[in-house]
Amino acid sequence: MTDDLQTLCERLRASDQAALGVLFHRLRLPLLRYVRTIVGDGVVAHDLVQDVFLDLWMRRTTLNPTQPLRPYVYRMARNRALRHLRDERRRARKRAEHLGAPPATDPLQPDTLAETHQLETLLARWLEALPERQREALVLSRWHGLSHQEIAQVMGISPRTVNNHLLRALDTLHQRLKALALIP
Amino acid sequence: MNTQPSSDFSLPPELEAALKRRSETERRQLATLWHRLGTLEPPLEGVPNTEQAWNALSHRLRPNTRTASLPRQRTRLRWPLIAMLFIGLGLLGMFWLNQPRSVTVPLGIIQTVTFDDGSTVFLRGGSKLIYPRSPFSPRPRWLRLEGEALFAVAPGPLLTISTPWAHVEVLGTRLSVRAWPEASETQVTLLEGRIRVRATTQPEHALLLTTPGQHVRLSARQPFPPTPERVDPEYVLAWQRGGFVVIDEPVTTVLRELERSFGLRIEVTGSLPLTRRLTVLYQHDAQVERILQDLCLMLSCHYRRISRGFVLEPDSAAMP
Repeated sequence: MTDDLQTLCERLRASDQAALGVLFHRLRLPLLRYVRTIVGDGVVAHDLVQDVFLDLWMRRTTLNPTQPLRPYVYRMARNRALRHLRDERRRARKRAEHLGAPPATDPLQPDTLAETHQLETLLARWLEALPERQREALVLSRWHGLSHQEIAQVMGISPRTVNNHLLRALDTLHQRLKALALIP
Repeated sequence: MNTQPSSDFSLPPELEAALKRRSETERRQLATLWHRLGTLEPPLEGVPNTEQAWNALSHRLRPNTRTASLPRQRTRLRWPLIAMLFIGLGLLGMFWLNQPRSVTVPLGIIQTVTFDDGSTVFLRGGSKLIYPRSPFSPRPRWLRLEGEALFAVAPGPLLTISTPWAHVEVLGTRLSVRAWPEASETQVTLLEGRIRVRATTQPEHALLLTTPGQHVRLSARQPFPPTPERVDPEYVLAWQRGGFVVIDEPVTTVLRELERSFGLRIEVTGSLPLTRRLTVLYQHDAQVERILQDLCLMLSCHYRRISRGFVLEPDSAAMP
């Protein structure tokens, strides 16, 4: 599988547009899911992922075939998504300055057991509440099946830190489940 | 897609290793949690499917292949611009280098101009010296003088001193040149070494001066070559030591020279014999009032102080 991606990388370097097509069909959906977890909106994520592939095509000649392609593309997507978030925040701040009043933000609702009896809903909410990097590591590992080594490359941290993030995230979720006696 | 490295119930190997010390039940609970988390991902909705997305992307790729040639065009256009800029800068620099520099000395003082090779020009008040900028040689090849100056030229390549009536060619020597605009003549006095003098009206003939103290006057009236006279260098250079010396020149020149040397104005009312030629010799410590007293004695007039200088008036006895 990785070898396959590396040959695609070679073909990309040689400006083979069909290779981009194969890559697109293979990686677009995972990337879309990943970017959505960062920006929180599917349509925005779609636009960003399109831009990622366009960018990949533009810089095809600078690709290094000895570097794993998948973490590289994930990292491109991540950078783009984070940049988008930063720009959004800045724009929101500008807008707030223009309007004078800060936009009303919903206060964080405490978990209300009364509303949600479903374990899945609870878990999803707790996942959202995890620290950003822990959640990101967990998402990449669990939903995208990236190895620790790959996650480390995407997030720009060491594999050891990835493992720590994952452990801490799992422990937090586990504690919360236990506290509610949802686990026997 | 076969991207999942492990089955749904098993944790990644690194996590598994980190959990070795925990109890069996906790490990099992965490594995269950891990499995649950996998089902949590919300479905993608409202997004174009991959086929549509690929069509849209390939649509965007096509114009990009065309725009890929744009940067090259832009650089092609930029290079001539840069070259033009450099040529323009070069021309500007050459223009600047060709602009001669000029020194104009205020009235009443003596100013010195020194070149890199040690050649020095002592300029009398009111004189103007023009010379080219010469960044590559220690001293310029030519000088233009309006006024009076002592040149001490260090040995080196030929230097030409130009005045309205004479060109003086110099190698390494000391000489005095006197060429005031109102005098319509140029006086050259050799003090040391040898010089070649040409009249601007007949530049093909040259007169060689070799004896210190030789003195020539060039003007439109006199034939070339003039016969060199002998003057005392002390007289010629008296102005450098605060003296005031004029040899055989009209009264107008004497008065102008007084104005320039002392930085004041001298006005004349009534009719004075302004064309009479005079020789005035004050070798040291010339004072304007003493000169004026003596002048008035010779011209039978008297002087009066005004705010900026003096007024000369003929004696009433001399008036008709």
